[in-house]
Amino acid sequence: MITLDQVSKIYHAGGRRIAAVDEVSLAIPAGRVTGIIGQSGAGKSTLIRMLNGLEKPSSGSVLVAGRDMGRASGAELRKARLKIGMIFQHFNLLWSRTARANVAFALEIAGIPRAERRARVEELLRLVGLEGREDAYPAQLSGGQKQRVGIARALANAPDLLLCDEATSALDPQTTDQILDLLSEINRRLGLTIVLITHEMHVVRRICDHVAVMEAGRVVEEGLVSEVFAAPKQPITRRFIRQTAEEGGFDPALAPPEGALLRLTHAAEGGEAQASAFSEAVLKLGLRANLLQARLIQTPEGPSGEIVAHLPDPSQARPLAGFLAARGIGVDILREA
Amino acid sequence: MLAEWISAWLPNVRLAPLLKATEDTLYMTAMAGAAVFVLGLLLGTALHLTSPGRLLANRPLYWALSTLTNVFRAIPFIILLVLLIPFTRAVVGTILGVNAALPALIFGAAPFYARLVELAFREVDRGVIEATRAMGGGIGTVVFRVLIPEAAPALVSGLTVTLIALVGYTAMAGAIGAGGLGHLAYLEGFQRSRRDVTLAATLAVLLIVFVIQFLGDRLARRLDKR
Ligand SMILES: Nc1ncnc2c1ncn2[C@@H]1O[C@H](COP(=O)(O)OP(=O)(O)O)[C@@H](O)[C@H]1O
Ligand SMILES: [Mg+2]
Repeated sequence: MITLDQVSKIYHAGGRRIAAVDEVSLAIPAGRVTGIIGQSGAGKSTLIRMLNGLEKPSSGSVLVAGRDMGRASGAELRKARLKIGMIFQHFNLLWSRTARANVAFALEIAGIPRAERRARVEELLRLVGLEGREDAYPAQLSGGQKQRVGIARALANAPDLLLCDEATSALDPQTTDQILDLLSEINRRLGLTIVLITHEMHVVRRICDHVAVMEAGRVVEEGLVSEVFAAPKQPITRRFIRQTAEEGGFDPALAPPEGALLRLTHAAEGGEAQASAFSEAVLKLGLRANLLQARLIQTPEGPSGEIVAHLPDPSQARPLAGFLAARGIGVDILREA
Repeated sequence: MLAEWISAWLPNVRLAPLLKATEDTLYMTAMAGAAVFVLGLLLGTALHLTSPGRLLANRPLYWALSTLTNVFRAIPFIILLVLLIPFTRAVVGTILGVNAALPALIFGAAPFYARLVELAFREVDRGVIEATRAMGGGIGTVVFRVLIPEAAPALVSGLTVTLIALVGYTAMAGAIGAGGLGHLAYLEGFQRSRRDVTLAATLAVLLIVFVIQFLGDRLARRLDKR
């Protein structure tokens, strides 16, 4: 869907040369949710803005659905942008228009006739859960509702790609989760590709399939969320994982230094399935095992139970993993020694 | 009744000339105001778009437009009236009467309004312009569907201020032969020592200014959805 090849963006400010994005190569899969996480100033916004041509790369190529966004301009670029929605941290709605008219704006730009616009706007506002608030002005809406208008507007022309620039960073935690779940649902229902940037690990954990970690303009680590976070290679990635540890996630750095670590997950059954399978395994296999953590978490597939276990004898890790996998429990061996 | 009241308190004031002068002032203000609105909006938009960091950023062009605007704004109106006499004679064919005042009124007020337009557009959230471009909107969309509607309350407030300045300008123009309330106050009132005529003309000007201010404020408030 999206291929970045050796992409750099250099700014010159006050005689200094700033590589906001530094030789980034990345393939973003179609139909999935990809998160780009990094601290403030890492170059995330610059990178995502190159995906819809708001920013031109200084070098390298940005291919979106086969089109080189770095070279496209004028009418071609505007046409390509109709199929790329974008939502923003501060929503960026027109305050002079109602929710309905804000969504219609995207359709006006696409040249959709008035009658068709009306029906489409109703449908979009229903999709994002804003029935009854169609005639409110942005000033009369809460942050979460404003972002719903933003999402409806971004989806108006049935895009193949949705870009989210810190879309939940201005929202409270509860609203953040509602918006994230809406994005996740849209991804599943409409099958469109979502690229989001964030500085919050929670956002990646909750809805992303893939993740790329950015630091000082570079992508330092990337892959499936489950893999990258199970075995982080870069210090910056570990720092982000500690960020969720503070929110209740598991921090491998706190585990006993010796022995194997396993993470057991089982979607949709509220965690009881793996808890009972785990105790069964401990009895049947005669294991010595310590429960380090057990909790429920939200993932792209729904609620999921998560257990982290420590086996002082690492040789028992494989048999246990085999036993549990046979009962449909997801097993990540976080550490084998 | 008005006629009786006037003859009792303002013995030298005749209703017909007062109404004619008021009409002339309103005519000059409205005609010049319409032209100033259009020209000021055009010039203000050009100033905004060419300013640094904007969609058509162009340093030399911005500098040229900006200098032109500042020069016309810096010239005192009474001097502008005199300076433009040859131009007015060429365009209007005379330098007397309400139409002869229009070129100076327009040249005097359009740059002033252009600056207010530029200021109003600068206050429009950059994020909204960015969102518009991200949706595939071009310059026309940005100007007509974002900048103007989003800045509408400020554009109206600016126009109110400009129209009130224009009423003042028409009075100055009146004193040198354009007609209207300024003419009445200065030539008929002051120079003939008829204080009541000057007073009546002043009251009429005040009434016009208050009405413009009242309507402008109301419209601006109605447009403001923030
Ligand atoms: N238009 C610009 N001119 C100069 N420097 C910029 C510009 N835009 C971004 N930068 C710099 O590029 C770096 C990355 O910025 P940004 O992409 O906004 O980071 P992030 O979104 O990850 O916080 C920062 O150091 C920022 O100061
Ligand atoms: Mg940013």
